[in-house]
Amino acid sequence: MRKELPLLLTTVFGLIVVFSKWFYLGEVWGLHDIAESWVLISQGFAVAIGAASLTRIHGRNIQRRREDWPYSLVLLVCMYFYIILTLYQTVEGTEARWIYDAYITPVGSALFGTIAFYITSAAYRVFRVRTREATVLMIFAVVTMLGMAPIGDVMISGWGDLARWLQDVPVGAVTRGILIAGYIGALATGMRIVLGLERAHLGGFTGG
Amino acid sequence: MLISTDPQIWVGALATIAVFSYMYKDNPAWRVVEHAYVGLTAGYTVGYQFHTRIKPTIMDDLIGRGYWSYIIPILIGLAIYTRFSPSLTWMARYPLSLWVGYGSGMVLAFTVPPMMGQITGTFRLFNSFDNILYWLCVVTTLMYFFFTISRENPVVKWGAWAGRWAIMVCLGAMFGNTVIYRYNLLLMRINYLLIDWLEMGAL
Repeated sequence: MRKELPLLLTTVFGLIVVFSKWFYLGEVWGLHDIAESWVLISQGFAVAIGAASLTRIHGRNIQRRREDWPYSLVLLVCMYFYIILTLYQTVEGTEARWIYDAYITPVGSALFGTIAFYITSAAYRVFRVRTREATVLMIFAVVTMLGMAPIGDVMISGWGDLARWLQDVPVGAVTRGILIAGYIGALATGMRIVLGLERAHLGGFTGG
Repeated sequence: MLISTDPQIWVGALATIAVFSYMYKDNPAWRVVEHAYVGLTAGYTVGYQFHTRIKPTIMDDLIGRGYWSYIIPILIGLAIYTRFSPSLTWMARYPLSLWVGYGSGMVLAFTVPPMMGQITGTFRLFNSFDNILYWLCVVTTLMYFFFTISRENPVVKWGAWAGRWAIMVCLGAMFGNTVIYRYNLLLMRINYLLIDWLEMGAL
């Protein structure tokens, strides 16, 4: 029962959605709406799993005075402070919004911005490999970068047009090919899950 | 030199500098900012979900409209927390099964129409070099992903070979796009420091 019932639940919910989409009765009965509301509600109530996991891991760090435990304390204090604040005044409250705009938005952008440096060093390492594939990859990366920046057209007239053509024709076509291959893979995986052949989501637990 | 007097700008600017300091080396300022960011983001997610999902479900649906059947998905959702108890952890399979089943159903139900659109969109009139090249790129890319047909077949072999090069061109262009996007974000942060914080634009 510990594995069979969840497996049945997977199949039933998968079939409900398929039935609702492809059969008239499924649409009339509104089965998809019911399934969707169940999923949204259950996900809503499960969302604190991240906060619970962080509390567990960093709480232990503090309790056992592990190395760098003060950072764990910073994390938990910030998290519970913000949870209490947003529960009290919603995420659109004056203070909650102030913290969001002052801290979360700039730090998130800065973190993504720093990736620019790492991506550049990754490009250098790719270039050093000196295989034919790596060379082609880097040439077209440079063509695209110069085409997207104003300096490309300043250096060579029409460079921007070349980059745009590259995006529209070969890149667009290959992306479409990858997309079609991805759709086929997703369909096959979805079918395997609904039929109960793929059970990876039931694994990883002890005690059953 | 002028400098912003807005505390919100100061917090953002100091945090941005602390993030950039990691590029030199790991340091306490970066670690504090990183941990505070994770904590605040997790807190935001909980607060947001409480007000958009949990509270409306309990106050409006359960108590207000009397949708008592919603207790079942609530209990299923709460079962995820049994992961922390070794003897009850098997119960966490129920919410995962529900979500994975629903997701798979969505894939099966809604993937075919857009996929057919992508396939039919590939077949253009062979009246220009671009259209022929486009068709060749799509077909050879798909050939590269054929693993159920023997590569000894010359059409598949050379098709997959051409597809491999086409994919390299595409990945190169995608990489270039990603680099440009990241540098764009970096420039925005530098702009924030120089214009918003140090108010250099006011000079």
